[in-house]
Amino acid sequence: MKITYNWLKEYIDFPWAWPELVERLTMAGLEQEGVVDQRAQFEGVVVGHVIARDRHPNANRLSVCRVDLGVGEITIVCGAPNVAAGQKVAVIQPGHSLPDYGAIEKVVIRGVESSGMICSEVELGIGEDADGIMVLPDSAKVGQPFSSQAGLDDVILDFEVTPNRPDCLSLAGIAREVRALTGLDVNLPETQTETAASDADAPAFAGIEIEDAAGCPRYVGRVLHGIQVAPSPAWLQQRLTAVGQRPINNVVDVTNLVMLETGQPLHAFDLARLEGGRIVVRAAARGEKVTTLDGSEHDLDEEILVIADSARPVALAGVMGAANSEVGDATSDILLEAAYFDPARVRRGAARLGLSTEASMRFERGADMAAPPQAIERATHLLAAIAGGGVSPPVDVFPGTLPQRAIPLRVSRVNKLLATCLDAGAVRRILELLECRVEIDGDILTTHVPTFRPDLEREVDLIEEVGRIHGFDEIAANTTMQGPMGDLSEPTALLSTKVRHRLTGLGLDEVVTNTIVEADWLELVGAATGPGVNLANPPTEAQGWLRASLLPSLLDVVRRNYNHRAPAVAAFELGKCFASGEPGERLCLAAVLSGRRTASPWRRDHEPAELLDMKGLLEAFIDDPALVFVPEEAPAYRPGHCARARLGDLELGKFGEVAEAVRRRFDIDRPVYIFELSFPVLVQHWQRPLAAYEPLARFPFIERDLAVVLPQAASAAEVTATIRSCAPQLIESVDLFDLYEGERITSGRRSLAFSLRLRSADATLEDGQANQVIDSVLARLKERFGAELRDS
Amino acid sequence: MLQELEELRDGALRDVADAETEEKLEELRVRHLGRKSQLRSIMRAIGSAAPEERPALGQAAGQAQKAIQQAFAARQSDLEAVAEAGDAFDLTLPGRRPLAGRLHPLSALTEELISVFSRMGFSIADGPEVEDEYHNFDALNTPGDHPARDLHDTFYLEDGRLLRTHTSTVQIRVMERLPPPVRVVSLGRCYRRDTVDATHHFSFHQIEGLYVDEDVSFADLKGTVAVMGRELLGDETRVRFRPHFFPFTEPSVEYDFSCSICHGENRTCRICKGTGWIEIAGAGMVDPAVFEAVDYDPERYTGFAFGMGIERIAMIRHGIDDIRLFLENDLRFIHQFRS
Repeated sequence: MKITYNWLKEYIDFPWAWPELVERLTMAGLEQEGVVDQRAQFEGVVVGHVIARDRHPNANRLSVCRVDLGVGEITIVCGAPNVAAGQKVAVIQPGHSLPDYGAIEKVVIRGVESSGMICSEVELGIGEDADGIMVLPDSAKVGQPFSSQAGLDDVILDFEVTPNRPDCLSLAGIAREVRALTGLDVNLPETQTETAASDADAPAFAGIEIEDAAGCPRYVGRVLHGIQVAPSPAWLQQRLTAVGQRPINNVVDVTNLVMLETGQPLHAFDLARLEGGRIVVRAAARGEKVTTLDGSEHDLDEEILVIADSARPVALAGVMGAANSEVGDATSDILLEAAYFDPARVRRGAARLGLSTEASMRFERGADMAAPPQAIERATHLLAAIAGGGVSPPVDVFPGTLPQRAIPLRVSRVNKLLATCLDAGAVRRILELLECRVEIDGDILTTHVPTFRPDLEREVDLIEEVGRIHGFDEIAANTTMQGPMGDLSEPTALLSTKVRHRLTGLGLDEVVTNTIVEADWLELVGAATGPGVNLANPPTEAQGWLRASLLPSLLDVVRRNYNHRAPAVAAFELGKCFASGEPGERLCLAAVLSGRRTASPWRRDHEPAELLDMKGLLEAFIDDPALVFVPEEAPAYRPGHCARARLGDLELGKFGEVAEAVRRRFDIDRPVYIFELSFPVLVQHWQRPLAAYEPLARFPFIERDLAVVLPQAASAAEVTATIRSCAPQLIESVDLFDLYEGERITSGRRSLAFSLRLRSADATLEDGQANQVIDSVLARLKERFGAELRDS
Repeated sequence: MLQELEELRDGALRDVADAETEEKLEELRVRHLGRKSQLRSIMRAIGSAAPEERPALGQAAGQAQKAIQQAFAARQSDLEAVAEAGDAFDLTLPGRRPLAGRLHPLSALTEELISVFSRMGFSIADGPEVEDEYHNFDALNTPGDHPARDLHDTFYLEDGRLLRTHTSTVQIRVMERLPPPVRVVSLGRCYRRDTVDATHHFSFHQIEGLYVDEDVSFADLKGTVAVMGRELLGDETRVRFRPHFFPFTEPSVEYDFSCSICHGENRTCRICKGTGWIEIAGAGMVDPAVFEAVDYDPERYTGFAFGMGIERIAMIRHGIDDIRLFLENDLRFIHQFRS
């Protein structure tokens, strides 16, 4: 809501300059959105008097003007055709600048020095006339600031009005807020009309009929006849322009001005264009069409409330008028409308038609049912003065009564909720400043609220008002709260912190990607993730789905960072994925590894990462010897390079290398390794029992290396398990330290070299015992896999 | 003989002082202290000297030997020190760092917030991002005709459900599940149909706090928000409350923190725009209509709720000027935030 400082001053004579006004209103709930100080905008622009105008000696189209600035004469070279001796003009002096033009300096133009510029409306940023300089009225005082002489010395204030305060969408409403803060009186503008009504000349008006009383509880109409439609006077145009409204003609401008003053939207119909000379407020009929004042055509239905004449809709009630009854230059008789429309009805209608107007905004939030007659009087007063003509008495169709609300308010409840110590008198004073009528009965204040405050319905609404005017800053903060001690936190919340720290500790960066993704991305991960979830109204045409998997999102992160020539991407995300059926929305954890193992070329392991790096990362992260991997084929994974990760009965997820075709879709030319885990399963895993202490070994160990040649088909896990099974009591650990496949070995076979650590819990192991174990291991491997000892 | 001992000692001390390497010193040690050294032969000869001279000679020989040994030891450690110094390691060579990843700045802030609120006795609650109209709007006293329910603001699914527009939904879910008193914060992703620009994104994160008990007042809300402000932006941080409007709180306020960057002293401050105050978010006392929706007795229980955008706080704290950076995941961005 835009107002001006001087305008508000006409309503209430508050003692504050604009910065304090803005501060006070902000702290009372009207937050400042913007301020424009016109005086600052026109700094350095003064009124000049053109004393002489001569042709420029060296240029036909330029003139050299002598201009009196009150403190002395200067010479200005001017290119405007309309400049003439005797004019009062706006002159900007060197060293100043105009927002829409730039800085002005003393310059020499074709040999003549020019000490300033005579401005056009465009250069001043106040109009569209660029054909010549702006000529000021003769009354303008030479040497005075242009802003004061042109009536542009106001401060324009813009406030954010919350949706519960339709009353503040008006000068009167904001003035009432200032009254609540100061106790000063509000002076509402003149509404008395001097013109005596001459019924003899009045045109026929067949009256107002409300068919839909629920949609329109009150409708006030008034005929003004024999008026002159013309541009508005300067003061009215200036006022509307200042708050961002475009002047149209005196009738429309008055309706707009009165809406800004009172908050009550008005409309003017060309009476001659109303068929049957009557108004019917009714629901639209399905199939009816109307072209609104903005030139757009709308198909109507029963949901939409219209103002109609005998034949057709002439306005969308509370939203916008129709072109078929628009006031124009030829209009002589008008019907002024001020009504109260049901907020929900207007909102639904405006939403359905895709229209939002100054009027609909006010009706949707709840107008003042008492306001229509006052607004009509104010508009009549202005039109009689500006457009002349005769005035008929208003027709007020109001079958109901004004809403009366008496709300009991407990002073004790005020103090309990706000932590204040106000007595009944203090609470009453605040409510009375807000124009409530209050009756005190002990603790209870029966509060009658004014009709312009539809938001005050309950006790708690009044408590808010008391807090607001008393000042929330006056309430002391309490930092010694009591309250429940038990921690209700869900395990997910606590473990997500643990997971993040473990993974960053293992060298992964955390990423947070978008959950709304492209349909393609769901296809990539295939049917395994279940049917996708799509949006009815997506943010962009491409992004219409909720992600089903973190895999494509992480590939996108890899792509983006490779584009920046990152040497490696090692990252994880913990976030939601979605499916339409079960399990619906679930928390997932995924990590990606691609490029060099380390970012630093200084490290010895500055090599491209491999699948086993990813596996090792996952093993270190899960940190449980029971973790096993089962080969798996999955969409988006390279065949033969993917496994499920299992922990006892728990299916943790899968890991592997991303299929080449899939990573190519993201323009990635290097291998990408990934793991995807179910976070809830991980939570189950981490609720494992605490580790039980095992006594530390007391006797020394013997270490033996063993290199065996085996068929390729013998998996490392099987071989290791077989070795262990030979002497579970004595074999403490089996660690692979070399893998060799190549020409020195029969094709189809490979060499695995293990380091075995042997130890007895009861005694120092003898060499002979160790040899026995190794022999039995060799025998078992030979029997099971056809293994042979590798010759060194 | 005494004379001879003195010369011997002086000669040895000179030699030791002149020795430039440890090898040379070792060679001198053999010459001056070894079995075949002159000192040893003198010491052997003392036995054949006159008995009355023996004690004096023995003492002199012992002192000479001790002096030479000490000189050797001193010179030895000098030479070792010199040798070690010559072997100095270039400690400006880069260290071989193990990999250390970085948390996303939103997570880092989230963890800090969790820690702040945990210390104040709040539990952490979680809720779904895909919600129904009831939990996102109706139960939060936002009736069907409220502007926030416009298709314009909310993402809807084909089946009529929606993406939550705030974390306030979790308030309702917690109160449906648990009887009062409750004290929880919920954090997570929210969605609104905003056009994406430097300060808006259709996907953002919020934190929301709720405390319901008997006798909870506005003073408790102020205290909680004040502590949060000091924890996040420093001990000097002040808070102010401006009246505002939210359907699910009454009274409703917006709260501002004093500017931690310029303390209101810079007219052109990028963060507070010269006002000295940074607009943070909304709060208020839980509306009785919300209590009715979850079957809490609004006469017996009162409570407060507050929320804020996590991106906004992170942007203020780190001076980040573009909200889009958070979801772009350029690792050069993420690497800037040391935990």
